[in-house]
Amino acid sequence: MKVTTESVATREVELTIEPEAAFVEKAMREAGRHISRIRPLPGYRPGKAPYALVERTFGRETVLNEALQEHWQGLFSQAVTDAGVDPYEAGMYEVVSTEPVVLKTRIPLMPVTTLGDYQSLHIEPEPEPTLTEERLDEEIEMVRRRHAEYEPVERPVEIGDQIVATIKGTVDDEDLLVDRTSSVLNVNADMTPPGFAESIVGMKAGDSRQFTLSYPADFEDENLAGKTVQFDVAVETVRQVNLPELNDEFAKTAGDYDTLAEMRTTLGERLEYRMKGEAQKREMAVAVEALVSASSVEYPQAALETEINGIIEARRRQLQQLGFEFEKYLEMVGRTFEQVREEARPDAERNLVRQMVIYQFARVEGLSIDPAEVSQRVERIAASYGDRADQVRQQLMEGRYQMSMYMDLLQERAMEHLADLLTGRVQPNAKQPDAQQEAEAQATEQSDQQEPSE
Amino acid sequence: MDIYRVLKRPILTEKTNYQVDTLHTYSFEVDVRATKYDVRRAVEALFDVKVQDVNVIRIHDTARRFGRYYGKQSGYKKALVRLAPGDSISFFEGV
Repeated sequence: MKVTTESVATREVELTIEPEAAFVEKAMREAGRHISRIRPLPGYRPGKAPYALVERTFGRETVLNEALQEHWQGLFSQAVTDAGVDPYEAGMYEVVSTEPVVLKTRIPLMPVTTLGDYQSLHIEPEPEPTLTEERLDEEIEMVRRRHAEYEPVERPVEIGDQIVATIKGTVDDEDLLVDRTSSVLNVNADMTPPGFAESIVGMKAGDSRQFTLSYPADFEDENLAGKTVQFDVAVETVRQVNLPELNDEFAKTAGDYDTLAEMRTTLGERLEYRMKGEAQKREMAVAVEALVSASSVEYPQAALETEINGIIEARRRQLQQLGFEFEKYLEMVGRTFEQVREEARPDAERNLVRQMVIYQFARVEGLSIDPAEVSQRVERIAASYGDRADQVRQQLMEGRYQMSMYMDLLQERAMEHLADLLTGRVQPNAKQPDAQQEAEAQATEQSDQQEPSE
Repeated sequence: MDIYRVLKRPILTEKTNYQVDTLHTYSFEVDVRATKYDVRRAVEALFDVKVQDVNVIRIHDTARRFGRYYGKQSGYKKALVRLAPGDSISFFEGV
């Protein structure tokens, strides 16, 4: 077999494959028999027509295509090995000539990551988060608000009340930009646009009032940003918010606590745990960002497309869970599928580069995940499903889930390790930059062994 | 008879392939008016071979019915041509 390689784009090559004549001959005869079995020729029982007759009747190209259906995969992997390239995905062939048989295929190659010299990178460690009393008070205040009682009152609206109101907002008497009927609002100083809360203070149930306010130019809803809107507000109900008193009774209703003090400590612990996790995440993000900007990744377009598809798929699933169909959603936001894809492109690009860098880092540092850890993760997820634990466990034992879980865990570990390294908490496993290659070879070996079998 | 009008087509079936292999006999559909001598002359001239024997068979018209309609399938004259040893006609090579 003769294979020539030609580079056509970033990490994309075109292989020209010319298989041995004897191989082609054999394969085509097989294919000829197969064709004559499916489409018998008059005068011959299925599968019995002479090859020459089959080729003349159906054409050499047809027979060749049939033969390739059977043999393309083998040819392709052989060609890839001969050419010494690392394909990202299998390619489709294109017949250049049938006599002799010459095929062409254009394939994307695996992305190549050139890791920056992370041993010289340094980031400031996130300060250890400290739990202040104020923060804890806020937390408890939130719980209180969740357990508040709402009591309809006859007095005018005050800041802190809850109201039910119909609000219409128009620009220049034309565009109805805000149109909410009987919606429940909490009156507080953060209401948008600024001044809204002040404007409705003093209204009673049954009152209506007109006023004009401007939205700030950097308002998040683009339709409203910078607009001056005439509001027409009709208050239907005013409710006073009665927060529960802070005592042991409240602690009992709000959760499984015996005393207020117990509630305070438990909430405090949880909050501290959460803050630590957040701090760690921030640190990891900074560390990864530092490494990514020091590294470079060369990838084929196909890898990016896969990533975009992944993002779109994830969004589709998310919408489905909310009970939307993706197509309906597209209609609602008034965009075409292609537009949404394009919009996902920058994110996809960032994700792809980031992931490649992290995996490469894991490889160089010789990180790996024990299969037992994957099982542990499976157990944890399964357990959270309660009654359906067995079912979930079984599903997660499937190869592709195992693989993705392995990759997730590896990524987590790599990010933690990276953060530890860059803040100087630990020393790198790969001692010298030029020892990277050795470590790489070793790591590949290790991870090959430790990847869960499918 | 004009030798270019004698032979209509080679008959290629499993049976005729078998006859080529064992009897060295090639089958043709020929013009119904052609005689054995016409066939001999035609085959010898067109394929540059020596003919030993020619047998002819008349395949009769057969009655056919397509639903309500009656019709017939045309018959033809078939010639079995035995060639001299060593000669061959290559319609297609390979099996």
